[in-house]
Amino acid sequence: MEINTLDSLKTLNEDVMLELLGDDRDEINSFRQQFLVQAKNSLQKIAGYYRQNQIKAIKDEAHYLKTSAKAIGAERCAYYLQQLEDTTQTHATENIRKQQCRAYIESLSNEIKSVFHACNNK
Amino acid sequence: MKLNVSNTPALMVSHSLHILDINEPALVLISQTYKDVINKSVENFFTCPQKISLKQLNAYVNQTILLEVDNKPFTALILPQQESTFSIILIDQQPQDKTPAEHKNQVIGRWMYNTIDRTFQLSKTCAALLALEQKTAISLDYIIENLAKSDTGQVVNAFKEAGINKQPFSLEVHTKHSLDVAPLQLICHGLQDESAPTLLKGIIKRNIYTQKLDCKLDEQHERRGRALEGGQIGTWSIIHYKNEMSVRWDSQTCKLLHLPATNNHGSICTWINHIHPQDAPSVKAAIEHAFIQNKDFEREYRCILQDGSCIYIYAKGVLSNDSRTNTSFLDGVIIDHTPIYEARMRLEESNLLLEAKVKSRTAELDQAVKHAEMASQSKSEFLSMMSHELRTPMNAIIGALDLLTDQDNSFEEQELLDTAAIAANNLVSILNDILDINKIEAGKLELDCFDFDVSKMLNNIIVIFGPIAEQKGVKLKVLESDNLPAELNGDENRIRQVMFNLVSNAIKFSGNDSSNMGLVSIALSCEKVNALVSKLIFVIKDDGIGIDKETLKKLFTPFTQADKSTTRQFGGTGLGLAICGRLIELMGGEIVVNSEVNIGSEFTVSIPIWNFKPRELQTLYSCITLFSNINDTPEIENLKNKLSFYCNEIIVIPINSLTSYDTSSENLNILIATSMADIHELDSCSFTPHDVLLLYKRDLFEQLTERFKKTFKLNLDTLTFFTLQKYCLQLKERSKLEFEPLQEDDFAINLDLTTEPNNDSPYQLPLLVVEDNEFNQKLMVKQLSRLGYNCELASDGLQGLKMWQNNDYALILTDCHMPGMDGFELTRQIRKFEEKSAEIPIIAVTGAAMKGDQEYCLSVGMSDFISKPVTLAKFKNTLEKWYGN
Repeated sequence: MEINTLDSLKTLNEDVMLELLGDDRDEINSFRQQFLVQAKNSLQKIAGYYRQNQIKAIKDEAHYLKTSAKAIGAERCAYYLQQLEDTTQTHATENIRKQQCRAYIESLSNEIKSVFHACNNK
Repeated sequence: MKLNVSNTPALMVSHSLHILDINEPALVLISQTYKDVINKSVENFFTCPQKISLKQLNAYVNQTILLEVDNKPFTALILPQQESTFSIILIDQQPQDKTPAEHKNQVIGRWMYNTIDRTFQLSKTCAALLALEQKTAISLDYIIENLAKSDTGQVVNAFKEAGINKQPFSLEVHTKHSLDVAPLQLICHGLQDESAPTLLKGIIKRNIYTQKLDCKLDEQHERRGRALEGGQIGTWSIIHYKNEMSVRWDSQTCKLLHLPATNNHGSICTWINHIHPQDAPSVKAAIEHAFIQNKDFEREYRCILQDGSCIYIYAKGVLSNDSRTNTSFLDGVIIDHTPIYEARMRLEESNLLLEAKVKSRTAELDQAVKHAEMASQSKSEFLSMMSHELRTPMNAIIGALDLLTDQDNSFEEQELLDTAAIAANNLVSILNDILDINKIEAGKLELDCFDFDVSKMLNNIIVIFGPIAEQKGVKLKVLESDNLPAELNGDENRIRQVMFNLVSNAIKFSGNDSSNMGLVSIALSCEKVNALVSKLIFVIKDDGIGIDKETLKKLFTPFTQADKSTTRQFGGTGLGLAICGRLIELMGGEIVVNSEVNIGSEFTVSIPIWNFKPRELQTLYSCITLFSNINDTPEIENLKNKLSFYCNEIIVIPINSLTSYDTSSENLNILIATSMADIHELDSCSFTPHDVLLLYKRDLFEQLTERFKKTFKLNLDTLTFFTLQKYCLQLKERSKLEFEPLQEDDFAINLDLTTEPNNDSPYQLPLLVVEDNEFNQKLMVKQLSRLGYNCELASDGLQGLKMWQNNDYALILTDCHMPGMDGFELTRQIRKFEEKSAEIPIIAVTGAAMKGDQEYCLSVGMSDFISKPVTLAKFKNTLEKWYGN
């Protein structure tokens, strides 16, 4: 079910921005650029929190970035962020929870790279 | 009647003053013939200093008057005749050189003496001068009986001789009358005329001026005598002639010195003999000194009386010289000063008693002051101790709350933690207030002045109080003047503390009435006093409950609030304004309060400032466009004035023109929303929200936040230079960043957990924590770990010293007060061992918060100072400053 859900999502769904802002390319590009700047910072913060075992901070940062990801149509990115957020709140043992977080953070990192390429190819 | 007075000029005049008859000598005298003068007015030939009149003649009957003929004065005797006629006999010619003044001072009486029967005929004046009533046929013996005995011999002899030789003579005689002191001059002119060889004529005269003078002198003398006697003042006189000194003194001096009246003169030794042997040499030397130096003499000394008693004498003498005789005189007085001396002695005794009493009281007061100082010292020590003792557990509480807040808490838990943190911080704040007032009252508070941005300080206040005012429904309004300096030199913390307190009070006492929203305004300005000094003025005004006049008087007294109900309703220790007042005073400023009950209060604070940096132009943009539907209001003008520091040009255009605007980095667009209509207009416009600055009115905040989440927003009411500059700079920076290319590597991450977690930390060398309190040890380890630092623990200074000697540490954090070796001694020991090698940073972590404590820490060699409670942020700042340095 998870894979199916993920498969149906796009790295960068252009329709989302078009619906929000209309056909203003400059403005759309500007928003995407801002997202990438934000994503870069948030990703480093999340990695730091992971190393320091600050689970609540990971959740907050993931939640913060997720809103932006959804706004620009980075659907897969938003998905990983949602998963990361959920994982921080599971009742699993700390080890399992950390392993899950690690996996999602790595996936998130790769996915943001994909968004970066997608944005640059547009 | 025929006038026949032989050779004496004579004439007879009628009551109408016409000449009835005149003899030959008189005609010769006036150089006229008989027929020329008969029946002519006497005034035609004779003049008188007083006009000749019948009245005058009557007045001078049997007396003499002065008549002049050809300006030659003659004494004229007026004799009454029958039928109101008068004979005028010109007795003799007056000496021409006599002045009228002399005549005036002379009383002259005429006499004629018959040498045969030795009788006198006296004029009225003559009889009066001799104090006789009889005027005619007075015997010489009778006259002599009325003269002073000493004169009788010479008078008898003179008349005896004159009776024989008829020659003139002149004598000085005195009458017997006791008051008649001045002598009479008895003059005989010789024979009356040749035809009467038995008649001698003459005058008796008296100089009444001399008599008056003598009388006056006698009177003065008597008065002086009485005064000297009354004042018990004696007089003396020392005559210095040819190296000999003789002394005379008066009867009063004799009385004073209990000497017989006859013992009133003698040599200087006689005089000195009366003086007390102990004083005599100095008095003698002073007298000699007066003569040698030609100076006056003044001395106080004792005299021994005959009965052996002692009196105190004040003597003063004035020196004079007689160059003709080469004699010097020292004339002076002596006064018995014994009563004065005794009074003085009694006064000195009283003074001594008083001084003794004063000394005793002063000693008591000193003792009381010492007690008070000791009490004050004890109070200070107690407060200092309390500070330390309370801060240590407070450190643990705040630190623990800090750590707990970082954990994954539910909303309710977080709320409770926040409440506890606020309460703990408030407690520390109250503790600080108590310490502050104590420090101020002990005169130990010193200002710590440095350059600071006053607008930034104001912004900090707004950041803190904005939400509080918001929550209470109080509107905050800020007004900075355009001339506010960019930086000024002062004690920022203390100025902030004052402003913090006043704003806190203003909000606390405003908006408590549900019908009134409440408004607190903060105005900040700078006013020039003279070329060197300016004043920073801040006015904090509210429309709260106000203060009554009685409370206003004691507003700045510690622990004073309006009344107990105020404390119950609004809380507080009553220390805030007292501290404000003292701090402003310490800064040389003043605070003025205007308040009216139920209307509001206004606190105006002015603080002198010397060194300040004026705000300079910092052109960030070539143009700033204000999209605003309002213009020319004070708010917009104020905004434009502020913005003019950051751009070359400001344009104001309506919001509906927002469809086309300049998005270049050289232009800044500012949207101003002051009403819902403005928001609706903004909705219909197309603009990129992240490259504009939105200025709004407070009541529109929620509406705007929902619409423009990413837009930089500032409240127009609380706009400061600091926030405006900060946002302008950020927008400028953002516009630059937008063009910074991102790389794929920017999204790479490192999640490697296989190594020790702390190895990720850039801080490789451990810290040494020296702390005796177990709880604080745990807390600090946790905090340091959270910040990425390794640390090792020592429980006291001695252990810390050993560990430092055997291991390598990046820095040392040490408590100050510990059993055994304390933090100060540890520092001294380490610095001693280090000698010339590099110094390890030693940071004091202590509950003491007095300024002196910090200085003491630095004086023993510590590098820095953190006061408890230590938050993560405090640790972070200090450790980043010292780690690796």
